[in-house]
Amino acid sequence: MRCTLNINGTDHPLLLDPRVTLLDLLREHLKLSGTKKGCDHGQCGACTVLMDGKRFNSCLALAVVQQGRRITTIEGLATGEQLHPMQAAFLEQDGFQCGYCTPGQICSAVAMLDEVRAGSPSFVTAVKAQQPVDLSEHEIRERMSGNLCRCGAYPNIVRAVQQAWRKEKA
Amino acid sequence: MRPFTYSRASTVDEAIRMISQDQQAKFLGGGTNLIDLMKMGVEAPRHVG
Repeated sequence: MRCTLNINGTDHPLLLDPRVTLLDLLREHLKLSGTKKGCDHGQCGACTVLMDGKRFNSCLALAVVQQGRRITTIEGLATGEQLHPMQAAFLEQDGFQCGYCTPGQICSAVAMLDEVRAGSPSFVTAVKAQQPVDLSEHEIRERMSGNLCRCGAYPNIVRAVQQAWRKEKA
Repeated sequence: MRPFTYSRASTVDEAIRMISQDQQAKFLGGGTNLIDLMKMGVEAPRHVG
Protein backbone atom coordinates (compact mmCIF):
# COMPACT_ATOMS: atom_id res chain seq x y z
CA MET A 1 0.00 0.00 0.00
CA ARG A 2 1.37 3.42 -0.96
CA CYS A 3 1.38 6.25 1.55
CA THR A 4 3.36 9.34 2.47
CA LEU A 5 4.23 9.95 6.10
CA ASN A 6 5.56 13.18 7.55
CA ILE A 7 8.22 12.30 10.11
CA ASN A 8 10.28 14.99 11.85
CA GLY A 9 9.29 17.50 9.18
CA THR A 10 10.22 15.35 6.18
CA ASP A 11 7.74 13.64 3.86
CA HIS A 12 8.59 9.97 3.28
CA PRO A 13 6.89 8.29 0.29
CA LEU A 14 6.51 4.62 1.29
CA LEU A 15 5.26 1.29 -0.02
CA LEU A 16 4.09 -0.69 3.01
CA ASP A 17 2.29 -3.83 4.10
CA PRO A 18 -0.72 -2.57 6.16
CA ARG A 19 0.51 -4.74 9.05
CA VAL A 20 3.64 -2.63 9.61
CA THR A 21 3.37 -0.70 12.87
CA LEU A 22 4.64 2.84 13.09
CA LEU A 23 7.31 1.60 15.52
CA ASP A 24 8.67 -1.00 13.09
CA LEU A 25 8.53 1.52 10.25
CA LEU A 26 10.63 3.98 12.25
CA ARG A 27 13.18 1.44 13.45
CA GLU A 28 13.44 -1.11 10.63
CA HIS A 29 12.53 0.87 7.50
CA LEU A 30 13.70 4.41 8.26
CA LYS A 31 16.53 3.47 10.65
CA LEU A 32 15.28 5.95 13.24
CA SER A 33 16.27 3.66 16.10
CA GLY A 34 15.87 6.32 18.82
CA THR A 35 12.30 5.11 19.40
CA LYS A 36 12.57 1.88 21.41
CA LYS A 37 10.60 -1.35 21.36
CA GLY A 38 9.87 -2.48 24.90
CA CYS A 39 6.81 -4.66 25.38
CA ASP A 40 5.29 -4.12 21.88
CA HIS A 41 1.87 -4.26 23.56
CA GLY A 42 1.26 -0.68 24.64
CA GLN A 43 2.05 -1.27 28.28
CA CYS A 44 5.54 0.17 28.79
CA GLY A 45 5.59 3.45 26.83
CA ALA A 46 9.15 2.97 25.48
CA CYS A 47 7.86 3.51 21.93
CA THR A 48 6.07 6.80 22.68
CA VAL A 49 6.18 9.31 19.81
CA LEU A 50 4.26 12.50 19.11
CA MET A 51 1.45 12.58 16.57
CA ASP A 52 0.33 16.13 15.85
CA GLY A 53 1.96 16.95 19.19
CA LYS A 54 0.04 14.31 21.17
CA ARG A 55 1.77 11.31 22.76
CA PHE A 56 1.00 7.90 21.34
CA ASN A 57 2.38 4.37 21.63
CA SER A 58 3.83 3.75 18.16
CA CYS A 59 3.71 -0.05 18.67
CA LEU A 60 -0.09 0.13 18.57
CA ALA A 61 -0.33 2.37 15.52
CA LEU A 62 -0.44 1.07 11.97
CA ALA A 63 1.95 3.08 9.83
CA VAL A 64 -0.37 3.40 6.80
CA VAL A 65 -3.07 4.97 8.98
CA GLN A 66 -0.85 7.90 9.94
CA GLN A 67 -0.88 9.66 6.57
CA GLY A 68 -1.68 13.33 7.07
CA ARG A 69 -0.35 13.45 10.63
CA ARG A 70 2.83 15.16 11.79
CA ILE A 71 4.95 12.53 13.52
CA THR A 72 7.78 13.63 15.81
CA THR A 73 10.27 11.17 17.28
CA ILE A 74 13.08 11.73 19.76
CA GLU A 75 15.34 12.45 16.76
CA GLY A 76 13.11 15.37 15.79
CA LEU A 77 12.93 17.19 19.12
CA ALA A 78 16.29 18.98 19.04
CA THR A 79 16.92 21.96 16.76
CA GLY A 80 20.30 21.26 15.17
CA GLU A 81 22.77 20.98 18.04
CA GLN A 82 20.35 22.74 20.41
CA LEU A 83 18.68 20.16 22.64
CA HIS A 84 14.97 20.42 23.41
CA PRO A 85 14.56 21.83 26.96
CA MET A 86 13.19 18.46 28.09
CA GLN A 87 16.26 16.63 26.72
CA ALA A 88 18.55 19.13 28.47
CA ALA A 89 16.62 18.69 31.72
CA PHE A 90 16.94 14.88 31.60
CA LEU A 91 20.71 15.28 31.12
CA GLU A 92 21.09 17.83 33.90
CA GLN A 93 18.93 15.90 36.40
CA ASP A 94 20.36 12.51 35.40
CA GLY A 95 16.85 11.28 34.58
CA PHE A 96 17.92 7.79 33.50
CA GLN A 97 20.15 4.85 34.21
CA CYS A 98 20.29 2.48 31.21
CA GLY A 99 18.49 4.96 28.96
CA TYR A 100 16.23 2.49 27.17
CA CYS A 101 12.97 4.10 28.27
CA THR A 102 14.36 7.64 27.95
CA PRO A 103 13.26 8.55 24.38
CA GLY A 104 9.71 7.51 25.29
CA GLN A 105 9.91 9.31 28.64
CA ILE A 106 11.07 12.53 26.98
CA CYS A 107 8.48 12.47 24.17
CA SER A 108 5.78 11.66 26.71
CA ALA A 109 6.90 14.44 29.06
CA VAL A 110 6.90 17.02 26.24
CA ALA A 111 3.30 16.18 25.33
CA MET A 112 2.33 15.88 29.01
CA LEU A 113 3.35 19.50 29.66
CA ASP A 114 1.22 20.53 26.67
CA GLU A 115 -1.72 18.68 28.25
CA VAL A 116 -1.12 20.48 31.55
CA ARG A 117 -0.96 23.82 29.75
CA ALA A 118 -4.26 23.01 28.06
CA GLY A 119 -5.82 22.34 31.48
CA SER A 120 -6.27 18.60 30.99
CA PRO A 121 -7.41 16.95 34.24
CA SER A 122 -5.74 13.93 35.85
CA PHE A 123 -6.67 11.25 38.38
CA VAL A 124 -4.72 13.11 41.06
CA THR A 125 -6.25 16.54 40.81
CA ALA A 126 -9.51 17.57 39.31
CA VAL A 127 -8.76 20.72 37.38
CA LYS A 128 -10.98 23.60 38.27
CA ALA A 129 -11.81 26.02 35.52
CA GLN A 130 -9.25 28.82 35.07
CA GLN A 131 -6.94 27.30 37.67
CA PRO A 132 -3.46 26.26 36.56
CA VAL A 133 -2.40 22.71 37.46
CA ASP A 134 0.03 22.45 40.37
CA LEU A 135 2.60 20.10 38.90
CA SER A 136 3.54 18.29 42.11
CA GLU A 137 5.62 15.10 42.22
CA HIS A 138 2.43 13.08 42.72
CA GLU A 139 0.85 14.79 39.71
CA ILE A 140 3.88 14.14 37.48
CA ARG A 141 4.08 10.49 38.53
CA GLU A 142 0.41 10.02 37.69
CA ARG A 143 0.61 11.83 34.37
CA MET A 144 3.77 9.91 33.39
CA SER A 145 2.41 6.55 34.59
CA GLY A 146 2.22 5.22 31.02
CA ASN A 147 6.02 5.20 30.81
CA LEU A 148 7.74 2.51 32.83
CA CYS A 149 11.40 2.58 33.88
CA ARG A 150 12.80 -0.78 34.96
CA CYS A 151 15.90 0.89 36.42
CA GLY A 152 13.61 2.85 38.72
CA ALA A 153 15.02 6.25 37.77
CA TYR A 154 11.68 7.83 38.60
CA PRO A 155 12.92 10.35 41.23
CA ASN A 156 15.25 12.01 38.71
CA ILE A 157 12.72 11.72 35.86
CA VAL A 158 10.31 13.70 38.06
CA ARG A 159 13.04 16.27 38.78
CA ALA A 160 13.80 16.61 35.07
CA VAL A 161 10.14 17.22 34.23
CA GLN A 162 9.89 19.75 37.07
CA GLN A 163 13.00 21.54 35.79
CA ALA A 164 11.65 21.75 32.23
CA TRP A 165 8.32 23.02 33.58
CA ARG A 166 9.95 25.65 35.80
CA LYS A 167 12.27 26.87 33.03
CA GLU A 168 9.38 27.21 30.68
CA LYS A 169 7.40 29.27 33.19
CA ALA A 170 10.38 31.46 34.12
CA MET B 1 -0.34 -10.90 12.37
CA ARG B 2 -2.63 -12.22 9.63
CA PRO B 3 -2.67 -10.17 6.41
CA PHE B 4 -5.51 -7.71 5.94
CA THR B 5 -6.45 -4.85 3.66
CA TYR B 6 -6.91 -1.29 4.88
CA SER B 7 -9.11 1.49 3.59
CA ARG B 8 -10.07 4.83 4.99
CA ALA B 9 -13.72 5.85 4.75
CA SER B 10 -14.30 9.53 4.11
CA THR B 11 -17.98 9.53 5.07
CA VAL B 12 -20.13 7.73 7.65
CA ASP B 13 -22.13 6.06 4.85
CA GLU B 14 -18.95 4.73 3.30
CA ALA B 15 -17.80 3.36 6.67
CA ILE B 16 -21.13 1.59 7.24
CA ARG B 17 -21.01 0.13 3.72
CA MET B 18 -17.49 -1.13 4.34
CA ILE B 19 -18.38 -2.86 7.62
CA SER B 20 -21.68 -4.32 6.36
CA GLN B 21 -20.29 -5.75 3.11
CA ASP B 22 -17.78 -8.00 4.82
CA GLN B 23 -18.48 -9.87 8.04
CA GLN B 24 -14.76 -10.09 8.66
CA ALA B 25 -14.22 -6.33 8.45
CA LYS B 26 -13.43 -4.35 11.60
CA PHE B 27 -13.34 -0.71 12.56
CA LEU B 28 -9.87 0.26 13.67
CA GLY B 29 -10.76 3.30 15.79
CA GLY B 30 -7.66 4.37 17.69
CA GLY B 31 -6.31 0.87 17.16
CA THR B 32 -4.81 0.41 20.61
CA ASN B 33 -7.10 -2.49 21.43
CA LEU B 34 -7.59 -4.13 18.02
CA ILE B 35 -3.92 -4.05 16.96
CA ASP B 36 -2.86 -5.65 20.23
CA LEU B 37 -5.42 -8.44 19.75
CA MET B 38 -4.37 -8.88 16.12
CA LYS B 39 -0.73 -9.25 17.17
CA MET B 40 -1.77 -12.01 19.57
CA GLY B 41 -3.88 -13.70 16.90
CA VAL B 42 -7.07 -13.24 18.92
CA GLU B 43 -8.52 -11.08 16.15
CA ALA B 44 -7.82 -11.68 12.47
CA PRO B 45 -10.00 -9.34 10.41
CA ARG B 46 -9.79 -9.58 6.64
CA HIS B 47 -10.35 -5.87 6.23
CA VAL B 48 -9.67 -2.94 8.56
CA GLY B 49 -10.97 0.57 8.09
